[in-house]
Amino acid sequence: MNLESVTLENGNEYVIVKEINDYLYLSNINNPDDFLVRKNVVIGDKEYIQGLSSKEEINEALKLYNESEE
Amino acid sequence: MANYSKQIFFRPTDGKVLNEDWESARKQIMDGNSPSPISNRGAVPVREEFADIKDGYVVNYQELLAKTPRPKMGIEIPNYQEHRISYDDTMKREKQGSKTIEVPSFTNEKYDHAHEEQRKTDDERKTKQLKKKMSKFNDKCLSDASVARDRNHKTKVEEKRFNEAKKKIKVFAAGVLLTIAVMGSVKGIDAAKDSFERADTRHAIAAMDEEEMARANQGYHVRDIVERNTRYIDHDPNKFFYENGAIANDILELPDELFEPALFTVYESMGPNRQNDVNDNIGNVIYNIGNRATIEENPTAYVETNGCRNFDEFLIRNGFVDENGMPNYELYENYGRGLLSAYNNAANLEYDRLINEHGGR
Repeated sequence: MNLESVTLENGNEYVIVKEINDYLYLSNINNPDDFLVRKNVVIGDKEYIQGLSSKEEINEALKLYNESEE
Repeated sequence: MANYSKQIFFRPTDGKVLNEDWESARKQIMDGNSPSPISNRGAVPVREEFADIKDGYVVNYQELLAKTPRPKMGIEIPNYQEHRISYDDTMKREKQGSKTIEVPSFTNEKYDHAHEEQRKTDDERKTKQLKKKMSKFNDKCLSDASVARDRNHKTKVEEKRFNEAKKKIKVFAAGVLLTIAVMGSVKGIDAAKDSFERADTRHAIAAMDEEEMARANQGYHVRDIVERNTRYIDHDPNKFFYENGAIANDILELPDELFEPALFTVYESMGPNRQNDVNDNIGNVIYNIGNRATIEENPTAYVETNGCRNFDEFLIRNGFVDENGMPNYELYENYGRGLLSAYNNAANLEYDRLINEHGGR
């Protein structure tokens, strides 16, 4: 299967395993133990993948993910 | 009390029914004729329908004892309750050699305050632990970096690898939510239950480290106590006693941070009448733990909780202080604050129960 991927600032390539609302759940293509959450931001006609803004937002993202996997 | 049969007390050594003595002793106390004999010390409570009574003895008492959750003899009194009663001031005065002794009172206000302070301390400690644990993940998520998204940039991934990635995140999310929920005391218990059950339990457990596992177990432990309580008491009153016995013992074994949440969650799940019954049973278990320990360590010391009208009376009656409020240093030294707290709690529970029974405060 072909998944959208992105190379982040640390040089590692991540695939987007799920997208819920604007949250992107990324997994390191070479290391499944390395995963993180980012969010999609639209500026003008372009989209960017940015970090989350708070720990509360992280928890919210984790909660959404958890619920989506019921 | 609707649907509940009579609770009787029997002597664990030979099954002799003690109800009459116990009620008689309580009546004496309520009439102001204290001190009374210790009538139910070491008595085992059981619902009447479970007991085969003949000639004033419970014939099947050994069978009942085997089924009844009981504290082990010689149990080491845990210190989990130390924080629950504020004896600090009193103990400091003793150490400093002050002649002014204040008998610690056990008012709800003082209890709540001491407890609130401890909760704050616990919360701070837990928050610190959680911060450390999640910091690595947070750092990755909270990056200031921004990269352009190209939806057309694809990478081939095997389905197995994709499923593994999803599972890893799922397990982590469940673990984090569970940890937060468990640490969130009473209100967190339901959330812990929900979040944990939504995840694949087996994988979640497999992915947890030792600390996460411990927290998960605690969350389940608390939840089980609450659920068992609700399930049996609401739907099968005949199991009331046995389940309450188990609940009380389970609660006693909980770690500090979960003791109160469990206790109060159990309380909150009941109506007032059932709360009184639980008070009774929990009080009995605590009472028996303290009582047995005392008997073993000091056979001459009498410890009485049931029937004390207030904590001062309890202290005096059991020799912890004399009638002038002077403490028996040996007893304090021997049994420690944890044990005293257990007595205190039992005395208070029984006190409240008796007050309620006689028409409220």
